[in-house]
Amino acid sequence: MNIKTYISSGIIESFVAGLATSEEIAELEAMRQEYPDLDIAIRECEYDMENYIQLQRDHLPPEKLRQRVKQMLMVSLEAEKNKTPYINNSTSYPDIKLSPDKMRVHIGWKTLLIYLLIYIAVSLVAAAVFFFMTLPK
Amino acid sequence: MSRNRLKPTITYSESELVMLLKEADTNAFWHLYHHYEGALYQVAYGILKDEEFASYALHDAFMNIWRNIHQYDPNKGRLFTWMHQIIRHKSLEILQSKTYRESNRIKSMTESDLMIPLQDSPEQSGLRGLLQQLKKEHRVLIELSYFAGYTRKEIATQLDIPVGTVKTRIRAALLVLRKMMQLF
Repeated sequence: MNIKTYISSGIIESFVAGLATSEEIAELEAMRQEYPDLDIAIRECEYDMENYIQLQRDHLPPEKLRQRVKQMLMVSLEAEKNKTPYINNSTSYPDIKLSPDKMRVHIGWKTLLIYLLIYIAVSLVAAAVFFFMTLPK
Repeated sequence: MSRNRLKPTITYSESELVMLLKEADTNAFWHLYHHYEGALYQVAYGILKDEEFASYALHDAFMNIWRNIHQYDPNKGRLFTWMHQIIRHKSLEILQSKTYRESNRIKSMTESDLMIPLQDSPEQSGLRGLLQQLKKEHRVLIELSYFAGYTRKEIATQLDIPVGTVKTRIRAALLVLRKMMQLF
């Protein structure tokens, strides 16, 4: 593929604006590794987009909404901070994962319990039979 | 003299900012927020055309940025491009939500929705003033691709042009924009 034709096809602009399809993105990502000119062209386009959109930065939400967003962000950040130990799997919250060995032990206990229940049931039946047999006639 | 004037303004390079964000530095987060709040809000507003919904998108996008900063790879693009994708995605998600649809606020892009009005205004100077001179067809293409959240197919329908030419038309418009920005 001719890289100049590819660059001028408009794919970079679509990619930077977020309009490219996943196939186009995959192709572009692979090609930028191979062609430095393409990589430069993408970076230039990104820089232009940032400058253009930053021109609109003075158009802020109404003050009341702005303050609400800030408040919400403060609350959300605080909540994130509090749940960090869970996310990081720190030592105070051990990660419990059952390995196949432990699973076998688990199944062994289950079998033993079943045998025990059967044994109790048989003993009860035997005791009942013995009780009725020894009853005075 | 006010206290704020004495307070030094901290500026970060993009790589410093990313590094601090990855270390969960809240000061860096608020710096990022104040620097990009307006730009990202405009992207959300361009898609949602509603101040309240756009504000929700802004909140959610910044929380996504905070949570997923480890996924950002500087080799794959600028920080702003990554954040633009996040706010665009979040706004489109809200656009398709039941709450938004029930609010019946969907409307098509009109001239009045353009971020920079088409009419020349004498008070505009500098780069913004220069951008006023962009041809309407170029301006609409730039706004539709950067702010409106439309797909190429939707842009084609909106402008009544074949889908195949949308890509090249956007490029042509952006090349004109680049030239104008370089002139400034």
